Amino acid sequence: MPNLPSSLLRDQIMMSQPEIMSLACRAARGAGYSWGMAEEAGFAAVWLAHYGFDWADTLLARLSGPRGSAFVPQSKAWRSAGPVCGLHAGVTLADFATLPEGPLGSGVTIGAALDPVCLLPFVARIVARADVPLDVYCDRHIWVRLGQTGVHLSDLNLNSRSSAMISVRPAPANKTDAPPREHHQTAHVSKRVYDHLETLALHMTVPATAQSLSGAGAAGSDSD
Amino acid sequence: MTCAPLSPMPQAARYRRTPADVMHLSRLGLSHPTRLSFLRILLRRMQAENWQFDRPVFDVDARGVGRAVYCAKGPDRTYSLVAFGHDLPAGMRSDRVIATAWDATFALFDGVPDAADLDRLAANVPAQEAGRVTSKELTLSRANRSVRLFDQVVEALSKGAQPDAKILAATGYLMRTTAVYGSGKFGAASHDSIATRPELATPFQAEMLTVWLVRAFTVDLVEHMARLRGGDIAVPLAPALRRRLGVGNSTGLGMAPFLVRHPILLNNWVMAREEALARVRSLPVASAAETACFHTALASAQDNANKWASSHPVQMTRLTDLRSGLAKLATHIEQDWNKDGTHPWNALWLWGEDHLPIEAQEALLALLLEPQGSIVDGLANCLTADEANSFAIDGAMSVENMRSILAENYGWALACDYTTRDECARFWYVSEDKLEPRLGERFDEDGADRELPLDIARRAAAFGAALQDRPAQEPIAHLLLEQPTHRPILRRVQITRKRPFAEIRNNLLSADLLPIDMLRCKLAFFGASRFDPRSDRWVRISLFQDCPFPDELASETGL
Repeated sequence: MPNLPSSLLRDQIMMSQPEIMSLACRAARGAGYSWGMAEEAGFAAVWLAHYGFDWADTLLARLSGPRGSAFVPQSKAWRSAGPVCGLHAGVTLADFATLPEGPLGSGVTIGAALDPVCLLPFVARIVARADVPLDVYCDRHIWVRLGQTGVHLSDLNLNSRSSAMISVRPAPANKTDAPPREHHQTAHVSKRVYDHLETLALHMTVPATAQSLSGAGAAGSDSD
Repeated sequence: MTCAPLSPMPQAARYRRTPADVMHLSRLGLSHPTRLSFLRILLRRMQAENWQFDRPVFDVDARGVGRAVYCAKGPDRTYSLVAFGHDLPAGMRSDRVIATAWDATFALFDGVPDAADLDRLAANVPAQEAGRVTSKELTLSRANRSVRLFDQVVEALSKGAQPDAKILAATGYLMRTTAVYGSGKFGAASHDSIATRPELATPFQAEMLTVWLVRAFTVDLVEHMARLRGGDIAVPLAPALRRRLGVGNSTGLGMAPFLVRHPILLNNWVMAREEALARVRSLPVASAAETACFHTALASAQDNANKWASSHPVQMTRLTDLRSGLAKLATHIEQDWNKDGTHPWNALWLWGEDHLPIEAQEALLALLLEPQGSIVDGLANCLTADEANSFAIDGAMSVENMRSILAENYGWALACDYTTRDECARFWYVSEDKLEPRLGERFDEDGADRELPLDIARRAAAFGAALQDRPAQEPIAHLLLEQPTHRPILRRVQITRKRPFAEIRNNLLSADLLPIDMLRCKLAFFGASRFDPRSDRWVRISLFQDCPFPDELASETGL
């Protein structure tokens, strides 16, 4: 593990969004995700932090938990043998956004998803691109409405669910009572979770060697 | 996206160079700073808005140890450089990112720091990566003295004399920065959080302001130390000598992948520069004032080329090309160029393409922009990019459409055999100790299993192969679901659909890759000059050399 800054030895670390993006991407890659999925994990972590969700615990749970079952996107209801990875399902939902397998027609049931909060950044991506408000249902209850007015969370208790049945449907015209979530440019992370994520991230880095150190710098003296 | 539909000069379109002409490192790596470079944009804005500058704190001892604050006051906001001077033993002076101590450390503060802010920064900024800043800081940086020049200047000034002009010019700076971190690094404010401010919307403006104020600090520091050493005998640095000092910068591999990781920014920077050249070439006449300005700029470029020194064999050859090319250009302008003919600037450019080496062609590009601020400077508004909005993949795009874009923008990458030793000789990775990008030798070093996805050419070829057997009308989302490894390159291909200058058209794994070409390309957009490679992956440059100091800015002409 890299030497941690002394100021990080407190219990909480305040991180900027680029730092969150970098750490999440490196940790996902270190956990064995493909580069494309690791970059999406970075995007998702920043989005979650921006809207005040617990991005770090969610990401750590996703990266260190079960990978989830394979799934096949289909119109109306996706097919899978078991709970699917919330991150992969979210990415795929956005990829299929305007296709029959996506949510923009009459909605789609994804089924059981692990760490379902990971889906939200990708639902937001669809909303931004299609300019259509969407409701995310968790176990048949409205959980989040995403639209031009922001992110409206109806049930805070669902945020920490490790698994839930998820559906995504176009939102009706009526307004939601839930206020929009506030935006944040920075986010805290506990040192414990930070350490876990950095430990995962170590698996994508390469230890220094005499050859790598000599090649990275100038030939000759630095002083002039 | 492109600014082309909003162009006030649509006639320029037919004069544009193509991405195939421009996007090779054999040309990008020979880029020169232009009036669209970021430091020029900063200076023009500060002058136009009548920014004011002061130094409310300068508490430094005879060894250069202490703190100083420099304030830059714009129409809406003030930014403050907080500088810390240190007493660094000579044996600890290193420009490498692995260094842990420096002669001076800096942060650019958003506003005017109070005593508590200064104490907080004093506890963190000198530690650099081992410290922590906050969203009230925009940059974090450090610099080392030029041992040879710094002490000589202090000594001369302390005795009431000016330093030797030749020695001063040979080095060209009192300090060189070894890193200028911005955009969220180590807790600082992210660029996105400040990009709505007009003065910071153009890329790297906070970083450029930092370096410009560091330059002022370096001169104040030698004059202050000379006064403490020499008392009343000491004199300030003569303005003409001071002017020749920039801020040195040592840059290594860490900067190289930036242009690959930010394809939309690269597109916008190159496209703005190419549009500027095209606009100048499309002008039907050359006015006397424009011609005079061009002559002045050419003379200045020749002077700069003569002072530009390097002992790196690649750069020495390029400098020979530059000096001979500029001399040839000067002769052509005096003897053959018909400045009263139709489209005279285009005629000059076409002559240059036929008669000048690439190094001098790219210098000619910069020269052609100099007299044309009225049609060039507005392009500064096209340099920024909302990258987050372009991150989403269009999964509905058909395989046929993807093939078409791939063929148009990645044809250069598709025919190569990436299994041969020379074409996959290197690999990019992140170092464990500093989390910095590095370049490894695939067949000599461990770590290729942790390779970064900077193998764009190889990935494009693999993606092209994957597309071959798919139904033409199939949405690309299906391929992504089955083969997620293609996700990064698929996104890039979609980005190039409307941004044809987004990709460096070289195999970045190749045995003959010169990373210094990637560094020079980026640094030229910053406005750097006097590129002096110290290896194939490490370069020294100068920033703000021959530029005005804060007390000269208001009266400066030709910015």
